[in-house]
Amino acid sequence: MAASERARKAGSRAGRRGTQGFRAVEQHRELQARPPWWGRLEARITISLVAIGILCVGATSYLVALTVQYYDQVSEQQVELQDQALRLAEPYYEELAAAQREAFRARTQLLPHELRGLDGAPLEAFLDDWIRARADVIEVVIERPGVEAVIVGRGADAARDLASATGDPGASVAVDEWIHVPLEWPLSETGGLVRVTWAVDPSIRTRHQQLGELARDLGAIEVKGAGGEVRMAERDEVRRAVITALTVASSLVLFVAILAGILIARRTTRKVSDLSEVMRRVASGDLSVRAPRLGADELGQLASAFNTMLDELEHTRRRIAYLQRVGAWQEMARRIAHEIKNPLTPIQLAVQQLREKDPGNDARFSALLRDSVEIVEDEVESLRRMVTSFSQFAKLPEVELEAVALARILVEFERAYVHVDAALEIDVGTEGLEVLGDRQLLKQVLVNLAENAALSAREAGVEQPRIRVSARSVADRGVACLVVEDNGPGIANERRELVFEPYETTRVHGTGLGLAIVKKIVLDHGGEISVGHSEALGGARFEVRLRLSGGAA
Amino acid sequence: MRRRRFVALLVASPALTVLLGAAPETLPRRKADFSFTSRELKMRVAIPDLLRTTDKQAMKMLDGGYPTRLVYDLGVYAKGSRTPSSLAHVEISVQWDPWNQDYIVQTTLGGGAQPTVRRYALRDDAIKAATTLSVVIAKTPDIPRGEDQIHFVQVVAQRNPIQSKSGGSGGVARGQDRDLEVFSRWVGMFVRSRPKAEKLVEFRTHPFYVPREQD
Repeated sequence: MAASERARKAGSRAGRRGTQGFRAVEQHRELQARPPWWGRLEARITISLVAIGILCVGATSYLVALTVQYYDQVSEQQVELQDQALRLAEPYYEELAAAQREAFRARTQLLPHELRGLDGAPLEAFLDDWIRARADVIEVVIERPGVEAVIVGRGADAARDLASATGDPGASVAVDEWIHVPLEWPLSETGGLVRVTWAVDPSIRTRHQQLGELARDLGAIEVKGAGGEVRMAERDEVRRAVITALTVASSLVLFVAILAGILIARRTTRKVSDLSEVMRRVASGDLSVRAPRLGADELGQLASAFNTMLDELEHTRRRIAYLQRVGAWQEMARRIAHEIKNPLTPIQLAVQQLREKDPGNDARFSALLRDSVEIVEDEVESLRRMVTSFSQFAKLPEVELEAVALARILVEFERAYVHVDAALEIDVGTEGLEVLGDRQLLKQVLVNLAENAALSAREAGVEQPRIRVSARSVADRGVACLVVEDNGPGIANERRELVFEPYETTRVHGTGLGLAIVKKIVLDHGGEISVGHSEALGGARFEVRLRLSGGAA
Repeated sequence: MRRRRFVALLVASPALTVLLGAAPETLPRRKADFSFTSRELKMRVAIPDLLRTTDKQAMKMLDGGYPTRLVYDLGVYAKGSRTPSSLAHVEISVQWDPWNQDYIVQTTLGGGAQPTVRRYALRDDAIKAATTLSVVIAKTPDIPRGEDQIHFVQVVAQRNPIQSKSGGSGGVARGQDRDLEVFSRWVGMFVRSRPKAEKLVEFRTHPFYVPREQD
C-alpha cells in the first residue's frame, strides 16, 4: 500500500515535471512566434492614426460642404429675387414702346387738324415751327394730291435739340442713332398723307439690352483658371467645383496625414519592436544581445535600463561562473595538497636517515649520497612550498565585511611590503575613504598584486622595478578604486581575461594562483577587478573597485 | 469677260477625305455656295440651327426686345494647312423693335465697315436673313488657283457669345486675400467653363478650288 502510494506520488511528480517541460516549450514557442500583422503595435497605431485622420478630415469636409451649400442657398435666393425683378421689369419696355407709339400716333393725328387752320400761311414755315415746338420730331412729310411733297426736318442743331428732349443736353448722340418711329395719317378725306418721324431716346433700348445681358448671365459667375484667366461658369458648376476642390485638397491632406502617421508610427513602434526582439533573444538565453540606442525618450530610457540590467546579469553570470571555476580549482588544490603533503615528511626523514647512517668509508659514495640527499631535500622543499600555495589557495578564509579605511590598509600594506624587491609609491588619495571589506584580505590583494608586478618586472629584465599604489573614489558610482601600476612588461590584450584564471602564468617560477586569489577575494567583496595598460609607468595597471561603506562618499 | 463664274464645288470624294486630315478638317462638312470675281471670293451658306424658332428660350428673349447676336468667324484654309489663308468676321444682330413693330437685322462686317440694317415684319424672315450668310471670305488674288489648289472654309458660328465683364482684379493680393486668390484658382481648376456662347456651331465647307484664269 505504502509502495503504491510512493509510486503514485513519484508518477505525479514525473507528470508534473513533464507538464512543466511542455509548458516551458510552449512558452518558448510563444516567445519565438511573432503576432499577425493586425496584432502588431505598428499596425494598430497606424490604423488608429489613419482612422482619426479620416474622421477629422471627413468631419471637416462635411462641415465645409454644409457651409458651401448654405451659402449656395443664400446665393440662390438672391438670384431668384434678381430673376423675379428682371421678369417684372421685362414687360415695361414693350409697354413703354406701345404707349409712346400711341402717343406719337395721337400727336400725328392732330397735325392734319392744325394744317386745316393754316389759311394760306406758308406751309414750310408752319411745319418748321411745329417741329421746333416738339423736341422729339425728326421730320415731317406732307403729301398732297397733285402737289409736290413738302419735307421739313430738323436743321443742323437736330442732335442738340433731341438731346434736350431727354433732359441731358450734354449728350451728343447722332440723329441716326435715335430710334426713328415714322407714323402716317391721312391728310383729309380728299387724299393726301401726313408722315411724321418721331425720335425715341436710344438709351431706353441700350438699358433694355443691358437688362437682357443681365438676365442672360444671371446665375453665371466669373471664375479664375489656374493661369489667372477669367471664365464664366454656372453657379451649380462652381459649387460642384468647390466641393471637388475641397475633396481633392482634403484627400491630399489625408494622404499626407496618413503618410506622416505611418512614418511616426513606424518610428515609434520600431523602437518597441527592437526592444521586443532583444527581449525575445534574451528569453531564448542569448545574454550577449543589447538593445540599440533608442533616443532620450521613455523608450530610450527603458532600453538603457534593460541594457544595464543585461550588463548586470552578464556580469553576475560571469562572476558566478568564475567563482564556480575557482571553487573547483580550490577543491582540486586542496586534494593535491593533501595527497602531496602527506608523503613529504617521511621522504624527508628517510633521506635524513640515509645521510646520518652514512658510515663514511667510501668518500665517493659519501659525496654521491650527500648530493642526492640535497637534491631530494630541495625538491621536497619545493613541493612543500607548492603545497603551501595550494593550501593557501584552497583555504581562503571567508570574507568578513566591515567598514575599513583605505588609508589604513595602504599603511599596513607598506609596512608588510618590505620583502618585495621594487620601489614603491603610495598615494592615499582622499582621506577618510572607507570601503566595505576585510582588511587582512584586502592587504593580501595588494601584496599579491605588488609581488606579481615586481616579479614580472624582474623576469622581464627591468633593473629598477617601480610600483605605484593609489586610492581614489568614484562618488557618483559609490565605489572606491585601488590602482596598482608598474613599469613591467604589461599584459597583452588577449591575455587580460586569462591572467585571473587559476594556474595561468607566464612567469617561470609562478604558480598562477596569485592573481586568481586576488580576483576571488575581490569578487567575494562584491567588487570588480580589471587589468589594463598604465599610461604613467608603461606597465600593467590593475584596478580594484570596492563598494564604499554607507557613510563614505 | 467672265463674271461670277461658278466655282467648282466639289462633292467630297474619298480621295479628298483622305487628303484632309488636320484638325480643322475633322469638323463636319456642310454645303456652301461659292462664287468669285476678279476681286472677291464670296460664300453663301445657311446655318439655320444657330437660331431656330423652336428654341423657346431664344424666341422669348428675341420677342422680349433683347438683341440676339450672331457672330460668325470664317477662315479659308488650304488643304493640309492649319493656318488660315484668309479670315473674315461677321456680326449680325436680330432685335424686335416694339416702336415700329418689326424686326431689325443689323449686319456688321469686320474691318470697321458701317453696319447695314434691314427690317422684317415677320420673325421667320428676320431669322432666315440673320442665319444665312452671304459674305466675302477672301480677296481672289490671295487665293492660289488651280484644280490642285484645294481649299475649304471653317465656320465658327456663335449665338450670344458670352463676354466676361471684368478684366480680373488688379494689384497683388496679400495675406488672406492672397490665400483666397490661390484658393480661387484652385477651385477654377475644377470648373468646367460655361460654353462660350448660348449656341455654338462649327463646321467646314466642302472643298473647293478656284479655276485658273484663261489666257
